[in-house]
Amino acid sequence: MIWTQIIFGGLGRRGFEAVVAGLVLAAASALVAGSLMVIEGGRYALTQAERNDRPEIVQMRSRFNRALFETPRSGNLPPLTLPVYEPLIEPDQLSSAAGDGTIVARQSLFRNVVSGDRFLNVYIFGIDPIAEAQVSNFSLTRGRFLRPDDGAVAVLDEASARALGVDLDETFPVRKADGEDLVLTVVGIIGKLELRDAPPRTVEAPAQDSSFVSSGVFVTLHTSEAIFGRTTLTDALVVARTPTNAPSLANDLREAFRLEPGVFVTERYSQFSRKVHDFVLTLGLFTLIGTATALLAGLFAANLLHDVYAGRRRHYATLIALGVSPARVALAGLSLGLAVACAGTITAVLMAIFFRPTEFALPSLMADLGAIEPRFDLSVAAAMAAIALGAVALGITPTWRRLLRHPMAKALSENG
Amino acid sequence: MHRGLVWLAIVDLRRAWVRWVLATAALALAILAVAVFAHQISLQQAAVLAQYEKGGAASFVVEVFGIPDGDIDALVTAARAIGSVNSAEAPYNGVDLALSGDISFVVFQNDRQQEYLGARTSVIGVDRSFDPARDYYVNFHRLNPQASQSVLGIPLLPISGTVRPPTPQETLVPSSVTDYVGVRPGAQASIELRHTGVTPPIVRRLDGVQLIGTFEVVGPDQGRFDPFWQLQIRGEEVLTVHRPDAKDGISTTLPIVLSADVVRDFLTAVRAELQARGGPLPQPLSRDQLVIRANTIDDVPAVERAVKSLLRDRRLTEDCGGSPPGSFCLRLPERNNFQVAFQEQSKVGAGGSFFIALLIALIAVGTAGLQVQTVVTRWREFGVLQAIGFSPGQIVGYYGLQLCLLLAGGIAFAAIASIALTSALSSSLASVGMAAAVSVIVGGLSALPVLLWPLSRSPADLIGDQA
Repeated sequence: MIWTQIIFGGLGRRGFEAVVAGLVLAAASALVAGSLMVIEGGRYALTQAERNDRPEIVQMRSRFNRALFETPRSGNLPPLTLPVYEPLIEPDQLSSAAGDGTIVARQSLFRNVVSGDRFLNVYIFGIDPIAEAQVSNFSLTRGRFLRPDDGAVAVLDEASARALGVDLDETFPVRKADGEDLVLTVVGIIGKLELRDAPPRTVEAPAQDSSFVSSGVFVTLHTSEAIFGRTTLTDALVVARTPTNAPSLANDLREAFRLEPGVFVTERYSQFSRKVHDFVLTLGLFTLIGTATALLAGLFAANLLHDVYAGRRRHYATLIALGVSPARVALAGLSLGLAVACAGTITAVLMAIFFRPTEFALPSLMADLGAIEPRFDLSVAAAMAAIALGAVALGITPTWRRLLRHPMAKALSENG
Repeated sequence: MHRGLVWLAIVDLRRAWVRWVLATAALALAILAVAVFAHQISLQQAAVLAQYEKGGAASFVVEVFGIPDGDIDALVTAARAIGSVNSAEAPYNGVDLALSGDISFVVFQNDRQQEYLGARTSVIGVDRSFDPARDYYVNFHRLNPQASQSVLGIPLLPISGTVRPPTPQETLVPSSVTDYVGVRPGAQASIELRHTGVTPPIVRRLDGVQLIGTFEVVGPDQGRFDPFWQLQIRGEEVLTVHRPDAKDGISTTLPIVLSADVVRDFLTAVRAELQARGGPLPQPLSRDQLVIRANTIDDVPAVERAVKSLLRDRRLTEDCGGSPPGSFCLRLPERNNFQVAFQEQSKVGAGGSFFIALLIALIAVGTAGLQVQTVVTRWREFGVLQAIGFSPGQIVGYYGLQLCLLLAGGIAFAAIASIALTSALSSSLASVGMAAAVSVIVGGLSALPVLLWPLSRSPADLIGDQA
């Protein structure tokens, strides 16, 4: 109880200054927190964009195969395996155009089996297991993933496995181009599949909740070449060495395939770089706002606290003269400052958390990045604590230095 | 105010110039920041409205029932004469008129045979003032009687070539169709217009129609078309292969865009053929949809009232229930309409407003804090000044002048900085003025009570107070 009175007692009019210092800290901290939350939100949006856009990837695909639409879906028909896109991408031509980019080659096929009035469709993807795993996400629940030297084996997602009525180590046939059936053995079941730049789902197939193909059977590229009877690719991804190389890589690919109007090349780096530019501008503006606020308002709060401490010099000198250790007196002084700072910071945290906008957008700043969600995290809390502690330290230091360096009698004889 | 007081205030400011310069700089930055956020909010709100207007939120659809096709044009002309109406359209909508189009392109030919690849889509016949991005609306109830009576705007967004209302020998085609076939603007198309309201359908073939542009359709039927392949030998069609599930009727809202004259001529021919066949018409072959666009989103309610009045003057009654002949119904587009635009506009300022509120709070607390510091430090001075003859009003004037100089300095710096800033984040002078006015009011209101605090005590109390 006595320490509460020692810390807070006898503030008088200076107590009002301490309250104002707390309010200044609250408003300044809330503003800095708001700025940092926008920066964090922008950083998160950019990270998401980087993950989703993968700006270093250039997509190549041929035009859709019209036979996919035109094949009858009922009647007494033999099983068929058709390419999803027309096979127009020659691997050699692609290799020479891709330069040092990593090629994720694909043969996207469609297996159609009609029996009476029933039919069973599945997509079959011939992939390079190592390269494909770098761009797509295959979460296996059972078995193993493909290996480059695998033969007639396949991994498939649960929906396709259910549709085909097969399980691990069981087999199912796929009709080859030569009219013979190739029997594939299931070596792995995929629980979650995220195939990057999957073809649009244009015909009925398992896992129909997406407008893009979200299910399928995966085999190695040389197995799909055996099924398809040729090495020509239907689509491919080319991963540039760095994202900045993506536009020139896309130009090289367009140039190489300029005589084939049915091949389309798409890059996302240009859009991504505009998002990065937006983020840099956002970072610049809000860093400026945050720094200026922290500096000017923080200094003002420190100045107000300094006035409070200056008014209490005689109070602290009396305590030391009475035999209280200088460390305990310093602790009492710090407690006063910290109480003010804590009150201000807690007010700011509550303001930042409860009144923060759910989304934030500035048209001149975030034209491509779009609206972002401000995010409160540890770094924001740390910045707020730093502002408060900095103001207290700057406020108490001159008073304490004067108390320790000047004769105690001088402090005791001060008015105010 | 006495010149001596002004001089005293300036001398006082000079004595603590670092503090005042820093305070002025802080105030200038705060005003500038408030101005930037306010300017950005107004930009954002304008951008949202512009985006909605671009998407057709200033439009609404009037369905009229039992009006002969020839009278629809007179109605459109009258609607265009209403003030604040930007455009009024009555396109020939294939979904409403049971019109489909088989558009095809030659993909292989020699001296004996031609192979065509094409798509069956809906058709829309438009005149020269039709805006593809904003004037195509579909009531899905017409496609599926189970669906609710609501109209959806389907923007036709330019992809390649020239996307404008076509002349009779031109057409616009969805890019999904041209990608599928593998053609670009400039290609020659053959189009079979089909009226599917009767069996067998009535068909007219148009050859040599130039593809002038492609568009992307934003809507539920994006990319939904029935592809087909056709083989002709010596100019005679010998085989057309459709998907097994292809329908004769309209199954998509994805349209090819033709001139209104072409569709009108075709409908005239259809009427003639149906009369020749005898029997009643299966459905009226007249347009029943007017697309009215106001100048701005704000004008929509007034234009709605004016259009209703116009239609009532023509002895039409409003009835959105059973659509009897001689009635009309105003329908707002689903999702993109003026009401949604207003709601969205009120939401977009939230982020910037949060910062404006914090900055204004900081200005208020900062100005009050500066005054508190002055008052507490010079507590006895207030008593001394009154003791030597200064009136309370003169003391308020003296300290108020210092505050005014601070605010004026901050506003001047902010105004100069806003002119100097040429980046995308520059603010308008109007927004700087608004921010300055708010700062003056907030700063004055927060400082005044502090200034009146010592003046509420007697001079003797002030002089004798040692605390």
